[in-house]
Amino acid sequence: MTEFVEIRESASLTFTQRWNTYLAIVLAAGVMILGITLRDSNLNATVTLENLESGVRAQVPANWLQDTRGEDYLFRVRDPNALPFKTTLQVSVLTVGPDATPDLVLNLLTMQRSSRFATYHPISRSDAMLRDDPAKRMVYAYTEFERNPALQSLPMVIKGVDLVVLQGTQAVVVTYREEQSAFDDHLYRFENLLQTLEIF
Amino acid sequence: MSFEPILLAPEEELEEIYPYRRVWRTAWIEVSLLLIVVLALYSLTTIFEIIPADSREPLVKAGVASLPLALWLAISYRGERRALQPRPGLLGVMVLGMLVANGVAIPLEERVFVPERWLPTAGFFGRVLGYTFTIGFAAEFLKYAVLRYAVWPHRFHRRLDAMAYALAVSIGFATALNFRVALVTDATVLATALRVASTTFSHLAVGLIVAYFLVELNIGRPPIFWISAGLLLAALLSGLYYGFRGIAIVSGLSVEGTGSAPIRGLALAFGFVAVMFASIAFIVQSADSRTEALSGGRQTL
Repeated sequence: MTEFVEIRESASLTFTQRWNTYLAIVLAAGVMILGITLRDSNLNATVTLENLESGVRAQVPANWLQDTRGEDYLFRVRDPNALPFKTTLQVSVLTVGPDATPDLVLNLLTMQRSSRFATYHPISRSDAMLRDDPAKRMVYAYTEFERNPALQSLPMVIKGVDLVVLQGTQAVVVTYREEQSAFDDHLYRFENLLQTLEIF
Repeated sequence: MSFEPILLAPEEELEEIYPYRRVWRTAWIEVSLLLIVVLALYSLTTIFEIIPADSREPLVKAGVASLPLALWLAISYRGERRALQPRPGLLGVMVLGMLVANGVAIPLEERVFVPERWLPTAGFFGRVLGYTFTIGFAAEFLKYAVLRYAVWPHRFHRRLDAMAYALAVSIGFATALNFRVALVTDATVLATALRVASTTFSHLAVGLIVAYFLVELNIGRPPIFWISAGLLLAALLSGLYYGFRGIAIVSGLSVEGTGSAPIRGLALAFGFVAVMFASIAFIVQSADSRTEALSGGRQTL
């Protein structure tokens, strides 16, 4: 009967070798945390945008494209790296009468957008609070077509949310729009904007 | 009476037989062939315009992505099999490199670090630090883990053994990244070829560092933070490479407009791998000579 005997070298490590291995694992954990911290501090960094004339100030994501010259809004910021739709946050102010309610403002927005956006469709409305002020929140969706015909892409479904709060004779509308599959993932941007929004 | 002088033929010196595959020679051949193929593709696309610039054939892109692996199999691995004393387990190390890249490094990059969302807009130092502490360190740690737990210390008898295994794990790692570029992104054939060469060169270059630190841990008496220092050095070099690559491939402003210069990125990657191969080969040779002298095998001044 043939018997095979396996001869292996001793696998015992020296003190230095063992501690080198432990320290490498500790270092990896530390660098992982550092990397995520670096990422978060860059991705979640904000800058202050304000409009003194309308009395609105808010923190918006840094490195996003800022537009303060629009006719429909006080300021709008868009994520230049987002694909296929550039995540949008915007703050606008509408002049309203003394009998206006947030619901009426949302009705007005719905009428305006029905003619502007293809297949615009309000989904839900709910009561909300912005600091101590009563507000109204509306979720809606519409389709957007790629403007570059060479890309030959299908229409995108864009989901949006508006929050309307009344301040005297003006209604402040805070808006967030995103491609529907990424809407929930980036909703925290909208919540952060609301938390830092100051109306004075 | 005369005496004829007796002529004695000098004792014939037998050439010492080198029983192992010559690691640097095969590595240089692979790197040079890959560079030549990519330059040929570049010329056929941009200068002679034989290949359409917008060609995105998935099969061709997959072929380009598999080129570094094919070269390694045909030159290094085949050479290893034909050597008198082949290094065992090279193929397994290469496959493990591919698996950790596909199973850990790519998900980490795409879902956790997402560098393309915040690093391209950062300044040079921010970009270097960002890449160092995210995908740079992750890649080098994973390659270290493969070597450490698959072949170290029992296969690391000589310093060149470490280099052979490091090149194998780096080729596997780069191949997984190359296939992702070729099959997942919408890059053209030329862009894929340039990216494949750059990725392969950079991983081959940086992968040698941790292997050198590992083999010294086996042969010498380094301090307990030796491997950590090696990992940080490798990650920093990787970060510096990404930082300079960003500068190299973006061409300057001119009246004709702005644009990218991918060929400069290829030149940077090739320069990087050439400098690293030469430096590490010199360091390994010096360390081997020193070890030999200390053990009495050779006299040094």
